[in-house]
Amino acid sequence: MNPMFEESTRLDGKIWVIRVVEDVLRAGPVAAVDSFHAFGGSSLQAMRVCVRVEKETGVKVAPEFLLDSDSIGAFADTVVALVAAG
Amino acid sequence: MNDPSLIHGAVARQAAATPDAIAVVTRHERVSYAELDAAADACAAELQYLGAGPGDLLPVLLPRSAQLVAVLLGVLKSGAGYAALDHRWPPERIRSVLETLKPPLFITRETVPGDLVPSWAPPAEGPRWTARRCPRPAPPELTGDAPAAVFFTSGTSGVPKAVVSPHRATTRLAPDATAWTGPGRTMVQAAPVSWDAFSLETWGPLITGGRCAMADGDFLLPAELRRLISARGADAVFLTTSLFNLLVDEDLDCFRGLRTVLTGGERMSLPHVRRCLTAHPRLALTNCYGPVESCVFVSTQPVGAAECATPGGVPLGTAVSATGVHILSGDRPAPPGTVGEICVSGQGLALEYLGDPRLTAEKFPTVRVGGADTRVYRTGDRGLLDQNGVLHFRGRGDRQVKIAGHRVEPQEIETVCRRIPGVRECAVAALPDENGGGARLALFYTVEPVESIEPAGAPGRRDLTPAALRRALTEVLPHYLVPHFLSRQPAFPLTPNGKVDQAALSALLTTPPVPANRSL
Repeated sequence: MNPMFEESTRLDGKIWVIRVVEDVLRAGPVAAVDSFHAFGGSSLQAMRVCVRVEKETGVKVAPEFLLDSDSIGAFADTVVALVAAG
Repeated sequence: MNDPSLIHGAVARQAAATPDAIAVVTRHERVSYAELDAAADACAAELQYLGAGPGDLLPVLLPRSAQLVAVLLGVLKSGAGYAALDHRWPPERIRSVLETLKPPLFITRETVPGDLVPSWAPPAEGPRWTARRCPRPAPPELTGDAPAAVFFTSGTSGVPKAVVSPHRATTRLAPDATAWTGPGRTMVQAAPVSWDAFSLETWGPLITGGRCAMADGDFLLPAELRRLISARGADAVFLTTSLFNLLVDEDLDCFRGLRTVLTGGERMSLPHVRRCLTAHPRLALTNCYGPVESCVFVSTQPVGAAECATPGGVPLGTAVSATGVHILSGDRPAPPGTVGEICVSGQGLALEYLGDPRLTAEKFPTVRVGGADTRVYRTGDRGLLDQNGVLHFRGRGDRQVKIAGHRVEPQEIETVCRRIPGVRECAVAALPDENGGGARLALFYTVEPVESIEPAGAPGRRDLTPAALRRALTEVLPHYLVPHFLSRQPAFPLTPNGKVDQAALSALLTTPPVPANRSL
């Protein structure tokens, strides 16, 4: 695969995950550097994010990943890496 | 002869009747009643050999597994009671629990904070182990009043309350539990092991001959529920009200295959109930009410179209077996049909708040109801009994709130927060569920003037940002007590007398702070 193409797919994936978080928080706009907790994100909202991620990608992500992430962008990177790893 | 209302006795009777039936199923294990009971005997032998017995309350910190169930049963067989701890609690919380329990032994494979208590770890091979050191000493003589489990719940004083629940409080549930468990039925176990809902999900099936299907992980996502249904045969589940709403919103089809859904902890949301029942008309959906002080349940209400149309919301239902519901106004029964404090009597009542006789006397008074002196638990919930004896909820009489099924006393968070260096004043409020995230907690705080907390030039808490305070709170409070929103205020509104102006503060508390501090 063209490495440039792969890079852009990853970026699209990351943006998609951030948009899912934004949609669940209903507090947008959300930036990659933002903390989930800065928006008052609850464990139930983290679960909603993970349900939607799994529905769309088939990849299981534990809500702890989002709750323990330093930033929403870091969580999105984790999701993208899991999807890439299949 | 031991009392028939002992939990381990009830399980042993099922093991004698159907030894080969599967009692506990997890992703990796299928453990029969005979195997579970034998492992519990082996565990009891070890514990008795180590000196544990009646009067002891043993903390247990083990992963959710068949072995955990065997160990808890073993603790009960030794004559002691258990406190199942949540692995997500910070060390500070564990330390405070150990100080309250003063146990001779801590059952865990983790490192015990500060070496406060000697620990014992069950063998790593899982639930199928047998006694190694000794034949089991004679089982202790116990009654159904013996302490079985300790549950920790939020306390206004800043320290969690340790609710001591006797064997009979759990075994009294058997007649009601046969509506959703028993031979041929499989119940999901997904609640935190420290909750009394764990008793419902584990002892409910095991004392009635049913099967307990343990979930993986701490969050029951729809995909996991589907797996429990399809791969482990689950047909009944307990969900906190907020989790029920989430599953209805995100994946309504995940209930397919279930016969029973029990929900409780908060007021039911009518739109969610209607959506669920429309999609799954044959599902037995039940609203459950019960503070932990009356183990698991006080009352239950099957939910259908009629209950959705009840003014004031879905009723809390009628009392479960061996349980009484009373509406009091002060210390006297409220006039029939009027709103008062919901008080509970019967076999489900806890014995005490461990180490707090004053609070125990206050919350578990003996009052005159129905012509008899009766020990009751004052729930602090307000409600009424209609002419059919059905209980209806009408709010709280104090500041207690429910967050994702957890009971939360805002004062506990405030007390702990004020101890954090740099915090001057703080106030916690619950914000209603407006975005599908459940009710959430907001904490507003002011900081000490810099010069009062550190010598000039010293690094440190010059800037106690919301993120820094959040980290500090995470180290001392369990996750569900850490507020979702933190907002530093330049000052709290004051009255002309210089006191915090509660009315003005309330106005502040009703609006969630905007996430201003973007970067951590």
